Amino acid sequence: MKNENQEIARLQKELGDMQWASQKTNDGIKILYKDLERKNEELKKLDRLRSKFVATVSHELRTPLTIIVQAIENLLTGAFGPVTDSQRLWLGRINDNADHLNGLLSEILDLSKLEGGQEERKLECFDIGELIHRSIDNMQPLAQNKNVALVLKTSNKLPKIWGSSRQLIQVITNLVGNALKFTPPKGQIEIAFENNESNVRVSVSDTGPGINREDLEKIFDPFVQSENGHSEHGPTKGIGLGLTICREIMTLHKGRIWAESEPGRGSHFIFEMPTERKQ
Amino acid sequence: MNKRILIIDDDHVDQKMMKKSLEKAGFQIIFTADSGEKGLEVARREKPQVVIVDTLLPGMDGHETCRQIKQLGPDDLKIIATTGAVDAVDAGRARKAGADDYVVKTIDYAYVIAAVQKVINEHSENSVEK
Repeated sequence: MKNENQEIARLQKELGDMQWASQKTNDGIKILYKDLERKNEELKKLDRLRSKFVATVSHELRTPLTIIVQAIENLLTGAFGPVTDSQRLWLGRINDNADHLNGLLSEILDLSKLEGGQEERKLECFDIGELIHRSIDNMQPLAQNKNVALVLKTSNKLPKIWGSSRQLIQVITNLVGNALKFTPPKGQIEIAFENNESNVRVSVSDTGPGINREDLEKIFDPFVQSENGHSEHGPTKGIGLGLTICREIMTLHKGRIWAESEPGRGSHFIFEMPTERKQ
Repeated sequence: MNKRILIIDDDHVDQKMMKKSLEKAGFQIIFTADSGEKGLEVARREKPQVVIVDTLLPGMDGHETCRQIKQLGPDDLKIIATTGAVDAVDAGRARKAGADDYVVKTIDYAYVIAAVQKVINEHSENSVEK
């Protein structure tokens, strides 16, 4: 009887200890969770600040740039007197670089708007096939300048889709623009699209240098360009935000974008998105 | 506050920051050690009233350190086991070794400090009753 009582007391103590340990563990987990939430909030706040900073800075930089471009245009038209050939050459270079700077600022602003969710999106139902046709037509002169063939391969008529046509144009322009940068003269860029019941899939394939396997994922990250990513003029223009913008836009459209390539055999950029309205 | 507190932690950043946080909370007599063996030595010499010990120590671990310091006494000595990662088995072992509390170390050590204040309050209440 005495032994039994001792055993019961021992077990009770053991149980008490276990309850204590489980209570302390629960408390600890709650604390860690709270801590994590707080850190997460801080990070979100920092991220919002960063986005706002980037947006403000790029916006502020744009104003003086506009004035510079306007001034160059005025000079070039001879509004302030005759312009010599060498002056014209240099003014042209200033103009080109101002354009380049403007493009970079647009990329940064676009991305910060997309990230900050401030982008005003006009959702509409539109014919993506027609939108692609139009975008390609607009880029034909650029392709002809570079002596690159821009080919549209259509199989069937695409359905109408829901989304922001402005953003979809941006995706297509970015992808074809990239392909144009990397495709050498006499090369070819092929845009193809197809659809099944629920998705449309658009691919842009080029005959450029291709992308290393290990870079295929990374190139969608901000500020990353493929190692192979050099046009004949050395490193390409842009700061590597174009594909990040495309990915953000695809995410907003509940779609996805990816690249397939092998060095030396060109690259294929493919995006896929639902035809039904899912937002 | 004139309570004597000993911190045993092999992580020097944790050790320093806990000391600072305790000082900020008004505690003035704080000893530190970076191993169980050294902690035991300091405990013998300085006779702290509260010991904060990390459960994960190189050499003699925090649980064994806790057990041996508890044996040193006195009876109202309070031990707070601390951890960087909460673990029920670790908590159970701390309890068996005689820990009065088991708390997670956060970046501001707020819960460690709160645990020290709590055991000290209990301590004073008991003293009043006596």
